[in-house]
Amino acid sequence: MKRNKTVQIAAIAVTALVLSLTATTSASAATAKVNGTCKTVGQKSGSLTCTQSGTKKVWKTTVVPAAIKSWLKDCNNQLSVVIGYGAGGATDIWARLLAKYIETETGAKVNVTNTPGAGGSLGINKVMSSKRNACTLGNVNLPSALQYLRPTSSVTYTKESLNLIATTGFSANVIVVNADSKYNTVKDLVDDMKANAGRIKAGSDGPGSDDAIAYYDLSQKTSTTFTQVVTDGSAAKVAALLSKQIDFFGGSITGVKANIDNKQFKALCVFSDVKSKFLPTTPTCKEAGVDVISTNMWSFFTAQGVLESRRQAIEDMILKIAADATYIADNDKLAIEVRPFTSDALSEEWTRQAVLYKSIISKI
Amino acid sequence: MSEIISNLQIGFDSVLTLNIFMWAVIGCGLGMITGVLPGFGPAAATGLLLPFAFVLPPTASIVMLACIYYGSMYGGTITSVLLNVPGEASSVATCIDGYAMTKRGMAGKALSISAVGSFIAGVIAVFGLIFSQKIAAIAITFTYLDVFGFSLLALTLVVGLTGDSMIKGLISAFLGLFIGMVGLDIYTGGPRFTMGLDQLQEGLPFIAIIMGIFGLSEILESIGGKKQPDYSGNIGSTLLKWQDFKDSIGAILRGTGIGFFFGLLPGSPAAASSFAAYTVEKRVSKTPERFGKGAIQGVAGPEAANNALGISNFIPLLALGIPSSATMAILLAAFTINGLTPGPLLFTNNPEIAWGLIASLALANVILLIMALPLVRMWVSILKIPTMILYTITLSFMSIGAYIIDGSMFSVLVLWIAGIVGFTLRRFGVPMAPAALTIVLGPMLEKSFRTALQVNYGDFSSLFSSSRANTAYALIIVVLATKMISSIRKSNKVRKMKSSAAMNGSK
Repeated sequence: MKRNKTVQIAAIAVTALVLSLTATTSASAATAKVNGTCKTVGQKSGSLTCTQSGTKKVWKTTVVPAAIKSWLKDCNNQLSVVIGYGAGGATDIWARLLAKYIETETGAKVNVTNTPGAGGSLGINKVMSSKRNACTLGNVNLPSALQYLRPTSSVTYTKESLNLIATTGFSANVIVVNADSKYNTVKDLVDDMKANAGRIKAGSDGPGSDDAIAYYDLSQKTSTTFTQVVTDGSAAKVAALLSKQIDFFGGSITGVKANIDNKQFKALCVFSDVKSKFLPTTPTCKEAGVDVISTNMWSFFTAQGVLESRRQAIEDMILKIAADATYIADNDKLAIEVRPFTSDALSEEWTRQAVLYKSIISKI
Repeated sequence: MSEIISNLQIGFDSVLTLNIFMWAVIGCGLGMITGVLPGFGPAAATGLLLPFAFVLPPTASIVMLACIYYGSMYGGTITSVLLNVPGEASSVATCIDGYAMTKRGMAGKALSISAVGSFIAGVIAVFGLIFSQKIAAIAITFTYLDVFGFSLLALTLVVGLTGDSMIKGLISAFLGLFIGMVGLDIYTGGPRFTMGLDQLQEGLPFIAIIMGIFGLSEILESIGGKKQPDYSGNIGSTLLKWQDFKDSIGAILRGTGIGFFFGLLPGSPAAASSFAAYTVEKRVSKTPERFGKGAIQGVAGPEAANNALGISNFIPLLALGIPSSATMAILLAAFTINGLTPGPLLFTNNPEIAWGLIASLALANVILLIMALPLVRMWVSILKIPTMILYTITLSFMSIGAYIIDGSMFSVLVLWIAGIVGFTLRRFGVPMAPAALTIVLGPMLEKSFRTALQVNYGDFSSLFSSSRANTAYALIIVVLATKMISSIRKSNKVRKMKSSAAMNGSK
């Protein structure tokens, strides 16, 4: 009798977990409702039509491309997104947000899993070896994906091994200093680095990271030397700067926006060709006289061998999401800039960054 | 004081509505399930439910995610006590005496004291959270050098886990240090002991190793034994006696202090705080020989530590905007999705959120205690399942847990190899607890040491430039000297007894 009771309670517990998973799906539906773009059944918005408000399939595309139809049919309406980084990081949150929009767009269930390890390459390997039906998508980040160019790297993929789809996420790196630092401009910092060669400390993610590349470029272009202190991740860099163990660091705007808003940090300049919309008063480093570019791009890819028409249809769908005002607004909340790249543009950018990376990596 | 009371009132006003209360209950329930499932940690659970932050009002989503995290701290204990399988990394230390209590027919009592200990620790820690801005101002002054000093001090605690043979304890400790070294060297980027395997670049999966050396090796040991253990007829009372409470309250309070402090240190692993609480309890106990054999303080201390750490982890996030773990990073995202900025301004600009979160954690303590105590009898009744069937279920449970870590069979393989290694070492009487402690402490020690040197331009003499680190070094000398003196006294006593026995014999 008691055992039966135990089984019953266990069943309730399991049901609760399953319900919670289902709730995640419902959440995406509710989003569209909350965003105020789908208030009534039958309402039209662009090429989209509202169907059953408040149910899973809030949206139904009026014209579903045949390639998308066959894709969803092959995948049994179950898509998988593999993230090569741990839960909670900027990549994870960006990918989960995009997955939520894909779910809304297609009506399919999108399962997001994390396969962290080896700078994202374990996740990339998993997607590369998935079936050639594009039911499994993955993330690839530039410039971290360029680690295969490092002489000591054991990474087996190259650009050609991946079937690139599209980019939506972009975040430039910004030089930040403590709020009460004596540096108010990047010129102050550079002058001090010249006066105290090797004594100014910069937080870094380690050799081969985008920090190391940007710092090398910075030291070359300003004829300065400074000490790099390797910390374990972006939160550790923030803590090290707050405790004044380092003097500055270059971190993604997504990661440090909160500290800048809190007036814990001052932003000196953005490593980008254009000003960031999240830091409108901060100059680009180029404007401040230091021509260094350091950015992060978050993209989706799938395995090679997928039908080109299908890959193109997925690319079109992602680029359509990237143009959606609510998607952009949701990214804005996370300080992620939506900067769409087609697969061709992404491929070109990859080649450009690879040339630069290769030339620097051999020297550091 | 009146300001604190009015702030708390703002917090409770925003939380004590039916809607928010419901989300807190859902969060606590999901958190407990998350804790019970090995491999499926609070980071994965909160990550999965993060989209709620786009839909729910800010207080509701943040309270729910915080409750999931906190609930998992409660849930992780259950399998540690009943099956010797830690549901969460922070519950490893609980395995030692928790499972020993189960073997002695005191599983119900072990789960009850862990729930009560967690509750008391949680309440005290929430009180500390009220002063988070002041505490954070102190916490941020801790440097890599200070962390190095405290890690080194924590490493000497291994002495308290060695059991009867120091040599065997040290073998286990060095094995743990070695396991902790596997992976990419973050300072040079070079691979260490990865054998060319990409999967090893991030290091060996901690939870798979721990499930292997504790849970799996226990099962292998039992299968290899002459008689299978059977706890079904003796699951004991779940009610705590006043004496149990009196025996544990000191351990709970000390554990709370230790856990709360560790939670403030950047990059401090939860498992280290519960081990520190365990070894401190063993050291202050008048009957240290009872530890490892089912001492109630060996459960109460680590459990209190792990819950106090769960709460104090919120301090760097709320007061400084620094996420000290993956779960805290997800919570940070939940804040930003709602247009909120954790950090000094949160308490000024959005007091209802900051104080609401503090109030919700106080509420979560009560919810979890109410949930946990009546469920003890249900969890304990798992032991009524015939041993071989229970082992089969546990094996599947561990394998699935290992698979969930990174969605690959690699961690399952690690689990099995760790189980076989653990089983072999057990046969030679090598204790497993020192290895579990050094696996987590090793990387922390190395990182703090190397970064401290980088910060000080490679100057070794700088290692003695911090008063906090120097205090830690002095305590290390005290700990080691006390151990040496007690060992010398013990061996002198044995020698005297032997010589008097020999003299008596010769008469």
